[in-house]
Amino acid sequence: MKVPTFLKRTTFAWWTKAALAAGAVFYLLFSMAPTQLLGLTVITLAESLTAFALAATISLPIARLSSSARRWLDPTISRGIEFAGALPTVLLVPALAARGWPVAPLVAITVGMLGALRGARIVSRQLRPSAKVQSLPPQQRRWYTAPQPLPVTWRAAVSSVPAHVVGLEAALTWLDVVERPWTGGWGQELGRRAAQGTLVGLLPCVVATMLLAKLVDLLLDQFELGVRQAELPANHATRG
Amino acid sequence: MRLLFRRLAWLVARLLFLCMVSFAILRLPDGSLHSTEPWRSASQPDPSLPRFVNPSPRDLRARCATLVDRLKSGPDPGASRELVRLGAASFPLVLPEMSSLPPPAQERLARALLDVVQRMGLDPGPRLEDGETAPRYLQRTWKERAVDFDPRVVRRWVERLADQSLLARRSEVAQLDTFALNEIIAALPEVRTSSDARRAQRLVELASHCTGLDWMIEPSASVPQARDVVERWKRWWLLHRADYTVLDGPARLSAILTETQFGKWMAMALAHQMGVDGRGRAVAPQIGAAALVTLPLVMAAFLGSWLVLFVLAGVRNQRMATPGIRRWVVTALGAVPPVAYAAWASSACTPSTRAVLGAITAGVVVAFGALATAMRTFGNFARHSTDSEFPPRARVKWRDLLRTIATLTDSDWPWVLTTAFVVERAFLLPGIGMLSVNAMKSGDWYSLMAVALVSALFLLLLELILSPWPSSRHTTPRFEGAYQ
Repeated sequence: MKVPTFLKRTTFAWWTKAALAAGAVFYLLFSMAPTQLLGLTVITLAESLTAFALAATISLPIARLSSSARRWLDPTISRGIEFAGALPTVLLVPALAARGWPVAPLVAITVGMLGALRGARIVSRQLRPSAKVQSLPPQQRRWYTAPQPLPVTWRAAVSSVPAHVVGLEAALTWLDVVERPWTGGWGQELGRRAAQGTLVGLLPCVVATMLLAKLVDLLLDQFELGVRQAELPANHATRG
Repeated sequence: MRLLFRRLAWLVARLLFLCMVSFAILRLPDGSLHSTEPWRSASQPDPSLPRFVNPSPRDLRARCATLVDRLKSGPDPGASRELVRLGAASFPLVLPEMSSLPPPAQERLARALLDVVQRMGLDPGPRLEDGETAPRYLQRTWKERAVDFDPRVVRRWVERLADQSLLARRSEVAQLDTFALNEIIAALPEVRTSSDARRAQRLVELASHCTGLDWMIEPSASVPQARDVVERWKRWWLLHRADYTVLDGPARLSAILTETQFGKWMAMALAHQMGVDGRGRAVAPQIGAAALVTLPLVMAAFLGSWLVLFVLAGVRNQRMATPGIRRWVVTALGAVPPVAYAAWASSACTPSTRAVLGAITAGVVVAFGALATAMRTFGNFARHSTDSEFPPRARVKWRDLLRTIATLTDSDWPWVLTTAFVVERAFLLPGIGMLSVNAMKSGDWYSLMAVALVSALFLLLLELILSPWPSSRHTTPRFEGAYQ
């Protein structure tokens, strides 16, 4: 099995940080039964991974297009944002859930779609010239616009996914808009505790979400580091 | 001017499209809507109507043809009942063709229509006792009265009745039964004074008589009560007009779109203040009042995030791109769910401070999210750009800040709105969020559609306002700078 470059370059210090983060989450959430905690964690991670996959699948191909193609796509992305944003998410999910759709996948798909649109919007509006441009006559330069670097797109699309997954689930539970019983992750637990008024009880879920967000941030840093180191000789050759 | 007109036209087209999408999602196939007599509802369109396009709209002519066919094939109590409901409006379509039907079918049809004749105040008893058959009686009656079934005649009679109530005038309009409904509803006044109420009372009584709907104006009714009844009749007619009238020419063509559930919603939204909620109250005033609460929250949220971005203008690119404790803190604060912030903040508020504290909470929650995004965005671009684009010691350019605001504001809209709803719930503010939650629980889709419409409208206006800002869609200054 081929190991990705960024994982090969992962340092011992990073693994220590990750292990500490995971340990802290489990310690803080220890107030509930381990199986229940495991269930919530698995659902949250599954939702986040689904949203990651959806966001990346949509936004990465757009990021790899040339700047002119991305500019051409920008109005379409705007229509997508209107389409997704017109109906508040706390109404969209219950409305679809009332048709019998499962709530947790709906949350993941909603967050993933919004992440994808956000990522696509950022990469479609941030244009950058290619290094090749410098060596071309002015009349040809516009055809050589660069795609976005992958780490930029990844970060734009997925960095806020854990916070949004937990936030949306919590809002749905707290506002009590889903009529039928459903099984969610940390967000549902957070919403339930907030509804019961146990404000200190919110802390474990909040800390867990923070750590998950930071874990994603660290993974993105590692990915970025790998990509930059892989690109380094090429950049030197181009600029040299 | 031309550009403005084009932009507005495009805005309306997009708004319409967004309404259609929201309608497709929100209009649930709710079992409670499928009542046995959907024609009695003054708020819900017939659930059997298609959602968006009706290639063969069913008007009075189509209904009559179907009912006659059913009665031709044998006794059908359901068809007879439906024919009685359609009333004398069906006479011009059914009676002239009656003689071409087989005798048993004529008999069945006539038996059904005799109930209508009795409702009109005519008494067929003596004629029938003299040995005249029911079909022959109806055909003769039609020959005598066909000249009265003329919309111009009906309009004149209805106007005279509305002006002054005399027994004879009431009787002559009653003899037209449902054929006069169109003119009766058109003559219903906007009830502002007690004389309007009396005028409406006379007309409503006749409408109630011929339809069997008991929405009457009592003699002791106040002006608002009379107004409610009149509004109900107008809404009912808007939803069920095609049952009692023939669609011809342009009306038939437009019925492809108007005789649909979405078309009915549009008509209700435009003519009757966005429809009515479960308690019969108009939705538009409620949404207007709720928007006055929610919009400041949304504005506070956006202002919070923009403020954070402007503060970032003082930070050097190099610092933004460097990982460290700042990024730890920003990532952590940006990841806290709005429910947690709102629950904690609301526990410390008093009734007098809850509005202000709510707005501050909304601003802070969204600002943290925006801060995290902006630092990631600028930091990333600083790391992945050439030195000439982001000089390490330079600060973020104003142009880039404005571009970021224009880029992120509309894509942040769903989260900003969710945050506002959560804050409303936490601080018990009667905004759109609370209205939506109540509407969702009671299945009140007129209110939900109004929320979707308001949300879409604000999102589009936001885009319209931000689009002239220096986004890279039209100008690419940094890109062009690279040529020099």
